[in-house]
Amino acid sequence: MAGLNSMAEGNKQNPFNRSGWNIVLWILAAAYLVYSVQSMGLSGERFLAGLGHASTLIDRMFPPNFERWELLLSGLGESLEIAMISSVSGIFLSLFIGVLAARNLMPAWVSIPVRGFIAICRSFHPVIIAILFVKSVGFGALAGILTLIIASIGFIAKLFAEAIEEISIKQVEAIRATGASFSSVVIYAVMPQVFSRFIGFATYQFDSNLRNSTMVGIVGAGGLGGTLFSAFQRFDYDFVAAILITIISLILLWEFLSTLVRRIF
Amino acid sequence: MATIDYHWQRFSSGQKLARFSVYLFFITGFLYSIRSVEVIPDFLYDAPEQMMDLLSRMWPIDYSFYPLSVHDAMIETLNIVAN
Repeated sequence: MAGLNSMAEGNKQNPFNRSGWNIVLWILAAAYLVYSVQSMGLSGERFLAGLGHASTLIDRMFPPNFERWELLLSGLGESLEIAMISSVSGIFLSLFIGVLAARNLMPAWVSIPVRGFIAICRSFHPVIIAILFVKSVGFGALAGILTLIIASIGFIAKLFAEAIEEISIKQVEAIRATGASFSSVVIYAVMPQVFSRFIGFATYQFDSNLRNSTMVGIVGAGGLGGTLFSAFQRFDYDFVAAILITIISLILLWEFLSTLVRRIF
Repeated sequence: MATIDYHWQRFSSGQKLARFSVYLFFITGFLYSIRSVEVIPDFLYDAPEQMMDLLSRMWPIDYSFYPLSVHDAMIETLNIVAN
């Protein structure tokens, strides 16, 4: 065993030896952790006190109060409208933007700027975009709609583009060989390969828009979020519980419907 | 000689109906939402002006706020991430 006797010749150094730098870094990390816990004022007493506050909060949340159901329903309706408009128009726009961003169908001078645009749409959290739109188009549902359209484009156009980039090029070549135009290539060679994945992305985006449409209202962009926030500020915790239960049931209902949609397609 | 007298269909009529009803549901929901959503037109006409106002106030950047409120908040954010 000529090659395996290196251990026998005094080369007994542990290959996983701990270096001095390694120890110093661990000590620094531990010191930082202690410092950060202290600077944020985290402590055992505070945590225990927090448990007490949580139990009072939950006591006051139950039973949920559905007396102001008209207010709840109008907020819910506005949230649904925001989610519906932003999903349908966002997904529709994303179809074209996704095709334009696909590197195997488009030359680089088209796909690179479009990809940059998608990245800009995705770079901020919806709440930050909502704050900007509330400033520019004012309080109300329109700001929420524009916010969620931007959010949908940022997320779903990227997924569409990547799904298109993974298609088999053979079918595209076969359709192209018949002399088909670009739109025919997209409709007959690309779409059949990616359509079921598009449906999956679209149902996910609708779910995400439903959740976000109940949240953008917190910064004044319309929907159930505004109702939720004002109920919280007035300490109407039983009404808060009613709103939360409504949101949960809305999401569960869409969960059921989206399985149905995916079974159809 | 037997003639080929069938027409190939990708989807049965039941499948077609189901898919059409999904499309119909979303289009109807979309149109209904567009008609009933409350948009205040005055705010919309004002949008370019407001956007210009926002951008003009964003520039130049005012660094004098950094020691007052940004620094502590940013350190706290980093601490939350690390923990």
